Amino acid sequence: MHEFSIAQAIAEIIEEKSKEYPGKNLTRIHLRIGRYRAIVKDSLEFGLGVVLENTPAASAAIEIDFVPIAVSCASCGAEEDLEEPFLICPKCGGLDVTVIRGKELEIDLLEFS
Amino acid sequence: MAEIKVVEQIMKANDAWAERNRALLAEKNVLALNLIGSPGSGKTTLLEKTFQAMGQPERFFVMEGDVATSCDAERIGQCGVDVVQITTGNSCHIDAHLIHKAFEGFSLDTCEVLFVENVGNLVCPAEFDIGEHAKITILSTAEGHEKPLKYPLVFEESELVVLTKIDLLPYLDFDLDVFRANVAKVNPKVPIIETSTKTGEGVADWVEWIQNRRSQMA
Repeated sequence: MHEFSIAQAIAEIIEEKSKEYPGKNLTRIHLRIGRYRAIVKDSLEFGLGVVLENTPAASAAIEIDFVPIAVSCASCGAEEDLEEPFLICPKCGGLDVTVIRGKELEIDLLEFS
Repeated sequence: MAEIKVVEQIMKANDAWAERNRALLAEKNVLALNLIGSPGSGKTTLLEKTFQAMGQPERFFVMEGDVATSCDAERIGQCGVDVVQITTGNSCHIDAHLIHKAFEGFSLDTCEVLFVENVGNLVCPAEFDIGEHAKITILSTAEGHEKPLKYPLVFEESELVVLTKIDLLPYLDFDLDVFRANVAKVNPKVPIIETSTKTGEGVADWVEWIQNRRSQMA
């Protein structure tokens, strides 16, 4: 369900940015989404399809990069991606880790032409 | 062709409202706790017991998030606490703007702690910063000990986990040790308070946690 709210938020940003490119259509949207966000790709694409319908962005290609969860370890200094969302250093097994990636909800690129 | 590298935060509109809420809470010196749990996890009952235990209802303010009805707000209102019902309609979470609107008409002058009882759901509410000081996951034993692994974000973002309905343990296959280990996997630092509003067990620990958290603000 939160995919639809996120799609609406993306559509608002697209509308705002489109004003800087009058007469052009949005042809490509590139998103970066962290694995923590539990975003279902199909649901987000469906939501974007609904909110962008009948707008100049309706035919834009949607690309989504999913960013793995990554931690930095206070014990050994490693910065590692995690296979699963378990907060343990994959190098040394330390538990004093900080999440450094995996919560992204970003528009990385918009292409107008 | 114009390609623009934007790097815009998708949630920026929500986050801007969350900042306004944070500023208001700071100005009024109010601790805001965002309670997140499934439907039926016992969030409202825990709040009722909290107010009974703590007294002086003028110190508290509750925002009740629900998709429909004001049943929960009526229950909280009977405790003598100021309460606003936030009915989200189709939406499965409360966002920062809804919180901002809910402050209207309340001075917060005597308020020390705001409890936001989010819409029953372990996924979407975790995504939305509402300007709170702490998210708290409320999970009941009946939901199963594997839930931290299924909903890692809400547990990772929480400052506290409250396990409710521990009086049901004799009737369930809920393994307390496995649950604690699962919570530690997704958030090694988060404390767990185990409670039963039927027997009253653990409620004092929860009340103490709130008092300590509030005093950390001053």
